[in-house]
Amino acid sequence: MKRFYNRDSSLIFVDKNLKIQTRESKKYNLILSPSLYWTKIERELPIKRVSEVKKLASSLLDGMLPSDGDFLFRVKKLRESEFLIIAFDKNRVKSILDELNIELSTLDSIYFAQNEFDSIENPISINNEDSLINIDGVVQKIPSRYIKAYSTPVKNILNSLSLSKERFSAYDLEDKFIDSKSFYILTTLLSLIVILNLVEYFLYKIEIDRVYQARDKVFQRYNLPATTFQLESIKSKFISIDREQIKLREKLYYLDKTPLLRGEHFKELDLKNAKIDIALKLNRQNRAEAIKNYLIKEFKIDSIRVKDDTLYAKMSI
Amino acid sequence: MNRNSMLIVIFSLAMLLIVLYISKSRLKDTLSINQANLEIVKVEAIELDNLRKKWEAKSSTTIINQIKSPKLTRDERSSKKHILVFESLNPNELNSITNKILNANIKISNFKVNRVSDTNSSLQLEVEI
Repeated sequence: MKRFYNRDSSLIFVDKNLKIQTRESKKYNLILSPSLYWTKIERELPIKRVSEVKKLASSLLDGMLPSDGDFLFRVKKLRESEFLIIAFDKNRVKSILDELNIELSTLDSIYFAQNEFDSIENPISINNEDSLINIDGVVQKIPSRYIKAYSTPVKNILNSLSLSKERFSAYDLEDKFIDSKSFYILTTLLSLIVILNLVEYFLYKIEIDRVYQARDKVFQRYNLPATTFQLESIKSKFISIDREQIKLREKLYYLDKTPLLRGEHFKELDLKNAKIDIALKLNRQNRAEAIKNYLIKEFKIDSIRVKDDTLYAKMSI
Repeated sequence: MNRNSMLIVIFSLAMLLIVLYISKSRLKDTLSINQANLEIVKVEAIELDNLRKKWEAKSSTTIINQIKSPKLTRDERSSKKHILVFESLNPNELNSITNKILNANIKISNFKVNRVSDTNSSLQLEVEI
C-alpha cells in the first residue's frame, strides 16, 4: 500500500555525497540509495511472523554487515515464508546527513529505494554515472554505462512518487533517552501506581460517606439539633442547671451540718432564687458569732441580726 | 512511539499520579478529621442525653410522685411549676422527705422549712418542670 508523503515536506533522494531534492522546505523525507543500506531476501524461512524474523535479522545478515556499525533492521513479508530484510547503519546515515547539512530535527521519515522503486520497470538514473535497476526484486545501484535502456532521472520520479509505509522515523536515528522495553516497564509501573492510588481514593471516599452516615445516625438516635452551635447551647443550658442544682444541694447539706448545741435548731429555712433566709434559735446570744463564722465560710451574708435568742440571716449562694 | 510521545505519556502519567496522590492525601486527612469529629459528637451526644434524662420534665414527674407522702396537704401543678406542701411532719418524716428531695434529680426553685414545734414542721417545695 502506498501513501502520499506530507506535501509540506521536501522529498530527497540521498546517495553518498549526493542530494537530489524536490524543493526547499522546513521538513524532509529521505529516500536512501542502495549504497546506504543492505538488502537480503530470505525465501524459505520456517517463520510466519515479521516480528520473529526481525529478531533474527542481525544473524541472518551476519557476514554482510560491517562489524563496527549500529544497525537498524526493517523486515517486509513478500509472500509466505519469503521476507525482505533491510539493514542500515544509523551512524553512517547520520554522518551523511551532516555532510549534506540536514539536521535531524528537520527530518520526518527515512525510506529505502528498495521499497519506493521496486515497482518501476525502467532504470532510474541518479546522475551521469550511476543508475538504479530492479534485478530479481532487488533494487540495485549499478554504473549507467552497463544500461542500454532509457533511464528516467530520479528527480522526475520523486515529484510524482507515492511513499510506502516501510520507513523509519527521525526518532529511530536519535540516541534514545529510554528504550522501548524500559518505557513500557515504566509506564506499566506508573499505571499500576495510578490504579492503586485511584482505588485508595475511592476507598477513602466510601469510608468518608460511611462516617457521615454514622454521624447522621448519632444525630437521629440522640435527637440532636442540626448545628454544633445549637448542640452547644442546649448542652450548656443543661450543664448550667446541673451545676446550679448541685451547688444548691451542697449549700443545704452545709446548713444541715451547722454545729448546733443542745436546744439550738433552725426555726425557718427559705431557699429561693439563689437566696437563703434562715431563722436559727440560739442557746445564748454570744453563740451568734460562732454561727456567723461558720456561715461566712460558705455563703455571702447579705444581712445578719439577733433578736430574742434567734439569729436571722439573709444570704446569697 | 517517538521520543515526544513517550515523554508526553510519562509526563501525563506522572502528573495524574501527583494529582491523585494529593487528592488521596486530602481525602485521608478529611477522613481522619471526620472520624475524630464523629467520636466527639458521640461523646457529646451521650453527655447531652444523660443530662436530658437527668433534668427533663418527664423524669421530674416520676420522682415527685415518689416523694409524695400522706402528710402532703397541697399538690399544685402548672405548665412550669409543681408545688408540694407537707405539714405536721415529725423530725423523722422531715428528714426522710428532705433527703428524698435533695437526692432526687428535680429542679428545686423554692425550698422552705418551717418549724412550728419540736414535733411539728412544715415543708414547701417548688419544682421547675
